[in-house]
Amino acid sequence: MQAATTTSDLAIISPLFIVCAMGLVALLVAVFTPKDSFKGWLGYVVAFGFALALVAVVWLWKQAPLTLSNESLFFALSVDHFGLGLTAVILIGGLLAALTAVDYLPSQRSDHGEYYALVAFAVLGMMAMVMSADMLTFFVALELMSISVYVLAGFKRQSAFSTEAAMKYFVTGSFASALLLLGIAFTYGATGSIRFTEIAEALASPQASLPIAQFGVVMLLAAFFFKVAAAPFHMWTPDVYEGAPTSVTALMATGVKVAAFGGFARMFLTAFGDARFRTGDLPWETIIAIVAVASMFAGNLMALAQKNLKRMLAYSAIAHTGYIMLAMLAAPTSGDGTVWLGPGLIFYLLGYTLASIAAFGVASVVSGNDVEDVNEVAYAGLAKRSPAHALILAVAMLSLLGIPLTAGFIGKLTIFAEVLDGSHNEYLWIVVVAVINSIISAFYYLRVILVAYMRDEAAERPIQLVSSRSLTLAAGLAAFLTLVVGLVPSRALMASGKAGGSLADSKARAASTATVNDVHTEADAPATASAPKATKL
Amino acid sequence: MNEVEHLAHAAHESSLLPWIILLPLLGAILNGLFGKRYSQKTVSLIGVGSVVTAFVLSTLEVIRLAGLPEGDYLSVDLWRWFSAGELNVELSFMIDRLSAIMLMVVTGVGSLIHVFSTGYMKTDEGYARYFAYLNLFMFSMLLLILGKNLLVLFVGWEGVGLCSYLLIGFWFSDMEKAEAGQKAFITNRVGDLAFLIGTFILLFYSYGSLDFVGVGGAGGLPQTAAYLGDKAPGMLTLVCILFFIGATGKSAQIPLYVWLPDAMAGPTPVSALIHAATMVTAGVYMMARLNFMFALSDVAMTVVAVVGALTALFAATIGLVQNDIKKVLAYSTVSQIGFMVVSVGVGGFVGAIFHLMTHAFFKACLFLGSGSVIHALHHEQDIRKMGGLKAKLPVTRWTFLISCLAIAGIPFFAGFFSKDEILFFAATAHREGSNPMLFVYIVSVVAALCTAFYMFRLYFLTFEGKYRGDKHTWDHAHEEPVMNWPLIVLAGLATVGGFVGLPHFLHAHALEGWLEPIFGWLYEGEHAIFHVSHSAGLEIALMLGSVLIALLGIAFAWRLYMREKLPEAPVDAWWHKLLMNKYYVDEFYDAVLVRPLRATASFCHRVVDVRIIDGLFVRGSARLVGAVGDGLRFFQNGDVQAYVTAIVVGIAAILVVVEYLL
Repeated sequence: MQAATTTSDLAIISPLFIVCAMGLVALLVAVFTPKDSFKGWLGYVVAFGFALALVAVVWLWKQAPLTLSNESLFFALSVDHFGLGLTAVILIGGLLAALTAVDYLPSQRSDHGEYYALVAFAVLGMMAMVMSADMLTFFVALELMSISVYVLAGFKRQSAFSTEAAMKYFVTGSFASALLLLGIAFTYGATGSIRFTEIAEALASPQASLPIAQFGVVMLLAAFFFKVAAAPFHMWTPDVYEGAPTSVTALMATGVKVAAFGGFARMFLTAFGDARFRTGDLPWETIIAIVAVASMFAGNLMALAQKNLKRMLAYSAIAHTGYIMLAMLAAPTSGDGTVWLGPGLIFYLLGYTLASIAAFGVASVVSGNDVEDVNEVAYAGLAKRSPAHALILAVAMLSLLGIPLTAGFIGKLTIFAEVLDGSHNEYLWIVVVAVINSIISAFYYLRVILVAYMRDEAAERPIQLVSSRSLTLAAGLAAFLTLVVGLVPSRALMASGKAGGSLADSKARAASTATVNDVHTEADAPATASAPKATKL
Repeated sequence: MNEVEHLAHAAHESSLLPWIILLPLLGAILNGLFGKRYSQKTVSLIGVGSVVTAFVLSTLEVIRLAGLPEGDYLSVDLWRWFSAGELNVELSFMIDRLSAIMLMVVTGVGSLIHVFSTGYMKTDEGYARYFAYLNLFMFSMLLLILGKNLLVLFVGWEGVGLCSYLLIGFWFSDMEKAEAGQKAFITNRVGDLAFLIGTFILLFYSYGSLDFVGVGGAGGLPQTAAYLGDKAPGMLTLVCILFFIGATGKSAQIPLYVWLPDAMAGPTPVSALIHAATMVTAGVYMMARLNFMFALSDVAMTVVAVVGALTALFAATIGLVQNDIKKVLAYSTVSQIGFMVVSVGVGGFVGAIFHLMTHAFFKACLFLGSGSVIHALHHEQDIRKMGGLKAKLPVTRWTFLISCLAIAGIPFFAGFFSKDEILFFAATAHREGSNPMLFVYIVSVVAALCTAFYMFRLYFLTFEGKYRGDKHTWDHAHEEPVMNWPLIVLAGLATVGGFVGLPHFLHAHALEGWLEPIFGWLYEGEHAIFHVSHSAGLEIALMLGSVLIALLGIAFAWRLYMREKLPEAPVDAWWHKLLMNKYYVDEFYDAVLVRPLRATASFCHRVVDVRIIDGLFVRGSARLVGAVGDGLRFFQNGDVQAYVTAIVVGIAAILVVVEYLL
């Protein structure tokens, strides 16, 4: 704890710095290298940067929660276990996604160095998003992420498919950003603040203008639903997931989703987390419950009919959005109105990230020689052609389905248990719906395994493999970790629980700083024990 | 608090223990993933080396265990596997005096069979795959015997079942062999289900852990068992019976024994390792491990004893007439495990473990011997086409003969001591206020008579007399040196292995002394449950009786197959047909279970799956989605304006809900 007080601001935001620096390096190198040379090594550079940032995150985790001494930074970023834990998940996803691109991009004739710079900037935005503690930081971080990903989605310039995806994503995404800004503006109008904790305080006072806040919350929710691809805000997802280069889709399914869930979960639980609002005046919890059910059904039923692996995974992503949203329902509230999260949300995001990288990794592997349409023919009989990749695919599918011994199973189990405990069985019906949906999803996940293992390779269209060590390594590592986390979940669960629980501290911590120089940390203090130690601002 | 202090002992940390388990796993991973690229030599080195190293480490640990205060055990807690409520399940292992015996048998016999396999599988294409499976089996078996709690044991239990399935169906391109693997797997599922239900019941009553030993006598399964015995004896009996059903699956007892004879489809060293020496005895080990629970239930123990005795006799009678060398040995295994189960049932846990050990020696030797014969005769397994092989296969012949003497129960060979201990217990052990189960004793004695007969029938028909096969095969028959060494070692063990358990009247039963901290409480002290006769005269009389029985069996076989030189069965009578067809049990199961199940499955497939699920749900939903899609074509046709419209409609809907419905 002594060390924590001396940790400088620079050290605290070092993960952000490292990633930013790597992005700039990649950008500069891309400018000064010949056009036709192999750029894949930049992927390793950026991946190394992510790994380095991950080390920094682990180092900070031990000292968290940390407070920044610079005043403007102090209110902008909240470097607590929640932010760091999600950052770690994002970095793992980003690292593996960067590795999948190394040989995949050349196979798609789109090997440009700027790709890796954009990946780094997108990841930077994601990291800032889950750490942001006020609306403006949040917005800037989200836009940094979004704009980078728009460009990445259209990275395969010569493909009409890819450009169309980028265009659609950009247009609908801009619309969502506008909604987000509108939501921020209304919230500011109602409360006079852009800081999450101050919004919560303002809303608690009798002067608060609840109708205006209510409209603001609806707009924020709409932006949230768009970013995490929840029904009926999901329609862009299949087109964009399918059209974008697969390595980009991998990043979208993992990093973007984690960042959106993390950032918005913090926003809603800190700013609007009071039990009075959640189902009463600002009933975002009820809305989320309805949208979660809609997403599960829309995703799973549409996925049933898909023949294209990427498109199927897009609908599956929509369904998973539904499951993950349940975790936000489960957030328990203590007597004084502070809200925290159980381990479910973060753990599920970790498991989903790993399984998705494995699945999209294999989808990249089978798109050699510029195959764009990853339909059943593209991977039928994969088990005979390349048993390792078929196994990776099978593990990913089983985890997404939630079969025991995989991370997906523990994730689902944790979320369902949380929902039942947190709501005192009030939400039993929604868990039943989720379980029914899991059963529906078995049909299309298992069919992928069936096609890969039981069907024969089409003679007239043999499987086009991208032979790539980095790609196999990334997907294999993701599948392996899926199993490890599924077999030995306790550490990851404990860390997720700590991260979720740290949300409850943020309120107390914000109130506890008369002067920002008087920083202190409470690494070991339990959530409820961290009482204000100084006068309020 | 229930009194289970008599089961409490201290634990000592062991750092070598994890390696004993991990080495075979490592071998399995290396050979399984990269085996195709390795040379045969490398594969052998990895496969055999990992198991032999595990054996050496095990020996070191067992020596260390022997130096500890009586009853203490070595253990290691790797990490918390999961916890739910108050229940903590750790991934932890232990070597106590009971698992030490299993550990030595499994790694020791396992090492020998790995060595033997390098010769037997030399020319097989799936050499690396074979060793990967075999190592994986060793890993699972070690999980099973070293698991400190019931769940780790169960993981091993399922693991060995899986490996057994993989190895029975090793030559899966042969449909019959693949089906044998499936039969084993499915039959075992029945037992495993019972095992699992039993585990769940114990979970429900558990005191925070499913460990086999409690901390300072409190917690763990002993306390759960004591509680159940006290408060809910009916439930305790149910749990014991469920676990016993689990054991009948894995250890091939009535009614689930049917898979084991078919399991002989696998490579012969596999039959020796898995289906004779180690895996099939797992049920006996499990019951011995749970002795504190079984001993409390009189009803369950009686069931165990009766089923064991019936299995012993039933399988032995089928063994009398079989003509496939491995089938005879398979039924013999079923029968011998029946003896072990009898021993558990009458309270002779030491005898069960003793016979488990000696049986591992002589039966592994017999199977490897049969492997040597089959290898020499180019995969001929029919004993009617053998004979006179002692000239060609001298080492195999002598080791086989020694093992036959051991299994028949001829004095001073290993089987003599262990079988006599079982019979002695069956004849005299009883609970307070009840009598010994004489029925069980008599049935067992008849089974012993049959054993001596069929084993020597097998020996005479294979090695003595004249060769009855074709000349070409005879000319090429020879032994592999690398395969002889394991045979010699095992035959040696089958000769002297019994001396660790000398008869009681000599008061030099080393094994009983070794296991005293685990089973001693059953016979002596305030918690004692079983009473055994201490009469030396009775013991000697019983012993002489069983020697006579054994000699009678051998003499009978000699008369029929040596003097009268009958290669075929003596008579063509109804009972012979009945035995040849194994009492028509397979046909019975087929008619009563398999066919109705198939019919149901077929119904489910045709109606439920094809019509309802595929037709209504999958195609129906696809059609529905298609229909809806047709309607919404203007949305999902890639028109961005439509997507944005959907968003706006969504927001409007939310606003309506917020404003008017809530």
